[in-house]
Amino acid sequence: MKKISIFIILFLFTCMFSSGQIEQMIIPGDLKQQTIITEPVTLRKGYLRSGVEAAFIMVDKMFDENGKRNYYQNTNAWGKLHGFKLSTQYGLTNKFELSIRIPYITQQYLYSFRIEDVYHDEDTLISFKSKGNGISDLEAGARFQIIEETSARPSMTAGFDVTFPTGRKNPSNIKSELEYDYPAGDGRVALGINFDLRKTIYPYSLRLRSYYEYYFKGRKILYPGESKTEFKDGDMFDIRGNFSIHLNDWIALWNEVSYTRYAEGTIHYETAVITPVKWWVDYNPALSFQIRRIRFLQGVLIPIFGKNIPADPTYAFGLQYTF
Amino acid sequence: MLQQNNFATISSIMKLRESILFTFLLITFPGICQDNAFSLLTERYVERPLSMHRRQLQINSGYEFSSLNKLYDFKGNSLDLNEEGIASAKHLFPVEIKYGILEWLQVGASMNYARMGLRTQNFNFITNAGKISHSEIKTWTGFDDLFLGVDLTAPVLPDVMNWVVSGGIVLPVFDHESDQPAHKIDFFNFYSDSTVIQYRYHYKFGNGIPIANIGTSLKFRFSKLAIATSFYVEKSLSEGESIYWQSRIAEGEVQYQKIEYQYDLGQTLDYHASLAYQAINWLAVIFYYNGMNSAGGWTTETGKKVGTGRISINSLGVGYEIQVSIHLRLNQVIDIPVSGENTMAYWIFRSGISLNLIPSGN
Repeated sequence: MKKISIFIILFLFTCMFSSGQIEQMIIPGDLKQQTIITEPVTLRKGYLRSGVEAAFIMVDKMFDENGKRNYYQNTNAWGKLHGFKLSTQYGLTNKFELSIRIPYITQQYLYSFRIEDVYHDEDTLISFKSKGNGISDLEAGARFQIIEETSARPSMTAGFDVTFPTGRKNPSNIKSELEYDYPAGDGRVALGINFDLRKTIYPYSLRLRSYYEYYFKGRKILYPGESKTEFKDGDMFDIRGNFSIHLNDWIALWNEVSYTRYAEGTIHYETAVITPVKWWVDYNPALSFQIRRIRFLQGVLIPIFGKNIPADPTYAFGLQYTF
Repeated sequence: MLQQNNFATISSIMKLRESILFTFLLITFPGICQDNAFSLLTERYVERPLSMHRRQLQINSGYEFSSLNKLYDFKGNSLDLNEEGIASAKHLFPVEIKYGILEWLQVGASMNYARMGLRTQNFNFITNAGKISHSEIKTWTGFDDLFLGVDLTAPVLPDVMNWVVSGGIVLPVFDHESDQPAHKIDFFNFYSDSTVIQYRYHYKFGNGIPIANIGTSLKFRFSKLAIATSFYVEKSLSEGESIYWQSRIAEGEVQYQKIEYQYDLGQTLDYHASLAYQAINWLAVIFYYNGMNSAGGWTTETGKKVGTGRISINSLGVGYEIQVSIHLRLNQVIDIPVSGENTMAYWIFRSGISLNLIPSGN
């Protein structure tokens, strides 16, 4: 009797779990509604995800060479930058995903000062408004699941990204040294590789990501009035630790801490100038809303420490749809 | 005469009965609204009362980013920010706790921590002693004052309307006096006589005086819509005293002197209106109007008693609230100034979380 009871209980448990598996298999639409925590690390075969991402940053403060958060040049200069990215991902197989991102940026910088000439009793206001709008550098990439996630081990994914210099790289519409249209592109090719480890223990997920990007030598006008010069940006290394949790079935809270470092770069090769090392540590809390196949993301990147980089938070929004 | 006495007695009895009836209504009112904790915590936004349910504890927090958007002069004209050379941003972290003692009686406390910077126009003076460049940065950091408040719900048509009368006091619990400035002067004499002066002032958010606050809020509740309005008046209870810093250069160094001055914040009228639409049971979209008028303030900072002038600001906002789980609500609002007088106006992006707890068996 005892054996029969154990058998019945085991059978019921098996039925419970197997019914979940069957549901996943017979309703493919449900798979397109999975959240950032429950979905696989690469898109399933034949699935297409398209979306738009937007970011806003007010250029106000920076971490100086001593790592101290300070206002830009101690002046009233300030600016705002909006970045938009049209992104598409496609699952070529259940383990292999292709992606393409087309960025568009708008930026505006303001600076004004007053000159009072005491001798001639003259008062002059000089103000600059510079902008820089346009398509930036196109990014394309691929990711492959090397190890699939199981209950015992995390998934492991590797991938690469290529950045093509499609955006305008030189300053244009030059009115003065401070007033001109800023370039929307960086003017060089970049090649990046990434590794990603993820383990989901519902309703949580843990993720460790790393990224390395190499920048090829480029040639562009760095500042208004100068001629074209060669340059090479310092390589970038980035590592991120992520802990996400489901607040309910369709809202996930994303927490990420990242360390990013740019190595020394070189500009003006004729009389070489070395650009300093830049690094920072960010905290990125974000919310992901999964409403059927629509995903709405929003978050803020908060710079905590750093050197030679902007120290303002970046507000990011994203809207995606899985076909 | 006897008849008059009888009328007086009857009138007294009637008044007494009305008082008893009113008291009875007040006592039984909580009973009318009480339900189990789950249904109270998952009430839709449009149905929810303005104040807490009995034994409900609410903890609100979040993050607010403000960026200087407009500058209004005394006549209400919007000025060009770039020509005025002003840049400013603010990061604010609010904390608020509310507790429903009874269904019609709520107490609450709130406080904010914030960081704000303001950079003003740069000046270059050309004199016979050389060129003097002057820039100015003002920063505010720290906690503002502690607000303690009481809300009373009037038992009038509770099915369609919610009327709350509020009173409170803003207490200066943290130091409000500004820190010593950290001006910086650099002399460059190699090519030409030139001096670069950076004025750096460090202020605090506290007002330094107790402020009384009284107001009322009204919410009309329909099946999918809710309309709410509120008015609050704030008046300082005493004149305040604070300090400002004078500075001078002696032997190549900046020396500072503390000067005392008096001030009065005057009175402020805040008014709000909102229209909420319950799109789905767990999602409400809310449209806001916010207004503020301030007058009667003065300061002796210049050595004479000078009025701060009338200040007003009007803004429109849109936001939403999501019932994330039984206990957790999430809300976001964007608020954009549309008109004003004698003030700097910021657009505000606010994200908030609200944790709500009611003991089971409530």
